[in-house]
Amino acid sequence: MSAIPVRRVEGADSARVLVVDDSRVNRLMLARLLTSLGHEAAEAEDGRLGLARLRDDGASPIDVVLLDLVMPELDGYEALAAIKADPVLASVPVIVISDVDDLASVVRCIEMGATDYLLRPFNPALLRARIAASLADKRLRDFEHETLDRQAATNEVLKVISRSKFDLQAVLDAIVETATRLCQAEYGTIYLREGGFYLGVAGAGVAGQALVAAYERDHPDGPGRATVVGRVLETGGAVQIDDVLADPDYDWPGQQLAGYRTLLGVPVIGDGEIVGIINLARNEVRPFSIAEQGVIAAFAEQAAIAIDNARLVETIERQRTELARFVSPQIAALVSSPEGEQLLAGHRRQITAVFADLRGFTHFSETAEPEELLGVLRAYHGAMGALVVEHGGTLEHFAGDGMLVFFNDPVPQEDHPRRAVAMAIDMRLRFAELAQGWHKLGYELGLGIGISTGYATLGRIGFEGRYDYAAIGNAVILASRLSTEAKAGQILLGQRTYAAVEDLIEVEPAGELELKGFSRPIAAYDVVGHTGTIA
Amino acid sequence: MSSLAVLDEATIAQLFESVGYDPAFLDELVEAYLSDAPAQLASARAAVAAGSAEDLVRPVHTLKSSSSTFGALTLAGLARGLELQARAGSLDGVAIGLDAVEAEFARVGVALAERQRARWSSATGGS
Repeated sequence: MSAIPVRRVEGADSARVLVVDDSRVNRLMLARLLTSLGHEAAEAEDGRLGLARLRDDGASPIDVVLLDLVMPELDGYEALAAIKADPVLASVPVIVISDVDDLASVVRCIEMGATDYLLRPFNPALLRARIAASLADKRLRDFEHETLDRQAATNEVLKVISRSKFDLQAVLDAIVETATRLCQAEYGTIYLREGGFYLGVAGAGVAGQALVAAYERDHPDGPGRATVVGRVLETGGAVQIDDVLADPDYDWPGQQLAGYRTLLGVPVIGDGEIVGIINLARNEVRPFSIAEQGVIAAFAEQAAIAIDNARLVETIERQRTELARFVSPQIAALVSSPEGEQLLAGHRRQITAVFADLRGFTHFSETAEPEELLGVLRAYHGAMGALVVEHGGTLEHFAGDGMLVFFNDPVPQEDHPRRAVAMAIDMRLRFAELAQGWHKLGYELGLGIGISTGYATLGRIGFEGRYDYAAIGNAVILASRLSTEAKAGQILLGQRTYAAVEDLIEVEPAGELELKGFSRPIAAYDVVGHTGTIA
Repeated sequence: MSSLAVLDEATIAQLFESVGYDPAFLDELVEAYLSDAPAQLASARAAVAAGSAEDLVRPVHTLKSSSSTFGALTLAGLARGLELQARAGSLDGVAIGLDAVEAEFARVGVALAERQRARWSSATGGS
């Protein structure tokens, strides 16, 4: 954040000074002196009345107190103690005015927190200097407080931004709310460019929210002097209108709705263009200070970053949605996940592989018309694909009539053998319905499924420009061989898959199969029924 | 014993200067002093009658303070003596002291009235 310029404290600044003294002669003298020095004097006859005046919210705040010590009701010490114990008043400078006789008590007052003291009779030049010094000191402390408040508020906004980095609305709400509060504006709004328009997207204060809605309806698009948004667009920088009623060009009906007088517009700049505008309004004519404008400019930078982030997330989301139409949703998610690169690079994991292909397909493809062939494949892929998604499988590929699906990768699934078998049972049922229809058309097609559980290497294979996410290993090969062995309507399980789900299904042993690529015979089980709890 | 003037010329001159040579304001100041001082004297008398040294402090302190504004140094000195004694917790002889204060206050009142009649002219010419 750029440095906030330090407000210069003028020695001749006018102050409102409260004279607390029980002697009317003293009060008259001091008030007269203060007035001649350009200050404004308020008077109180004793400590109690002095405190009441300091605490009077209806009266203008007091900048400096001149305090006598010996007074009826509440004396100077008691009044001083009360002022310093009051968190609101503690920072008000107190100058004790007393007689030389009271020197020891003056020292005591300084210890209690009095800013300074004057001994009677005093030189008017001395009073003038003491008041100026106290004022300068108080303004410096006030400024420090104000700066700290600003710093705290800025930190608050930064916290919200880092917490909800990708929630643009939350960030804009936090910015407009904090900016409005910090600059003591009646309301604030943020407009963002949407197509060729600047639409209100966030508002703080009742009028702010109402105006966000009104602006969408009434606002003329593009630059112009009729609105503060138009002027920001015209000048490319921050614009302040000290009093909209005194500005002949300002002409937005929202003024009548909200009744504001002073307006500030600060551009939100992204990629060198004005992507939005932060707008603050006050219902009195009180221009925003340079320091306040600096704070809003810093907020505008944060808004620009938040908008950038949100657009980036939007792009990634869109890419993922688009990608998911081409590849398995799990793989699309994997690609954009933080650990994606590591998983894509290759890893070993136990999976359950399901291989399915069609019986009678070679004959069918030789005799059927191309349109018929594509129609059958589309129906088959559509029905099976839906079941893959439903059971959470990862579809490695469709290749003609064959398809490979695996479980437990890239998303870990503890019950992967059960999921695989449940999906296969659903596929068999669904396929039977499709096959009935095709039978009427004279196509004799059946589905054979092989399932195997075991270790495989998974990751990205292929070449630049055309990669696949693939599973390689014995489990995959065995599933493929079992599916080749399966007759129409059969689901053949390897030993390990069967062992994992034996309580949930009924099987008939399919014997020891001699399979290509396997040196020893492989035990296989044909799923003939299930307990109903498998899905 | 007192060879001091009732009003100190230098103080009056400085006062006049500090209020921008505004006789009307000095009149107002004198009016406030002359009308409030009797109340302070009455408070002092009441404190002595009640035997409270503590209650005597404030009225004589205030009287001392405002009297010194006009350069009424004798009066301020008398009041200061009473204040110091009251602070020490003693009321010995304060009744006589108050008589002296009252007598001196009467002289101060006359002297201030003279100044007013002269429109404070001698103050401007003071050395």
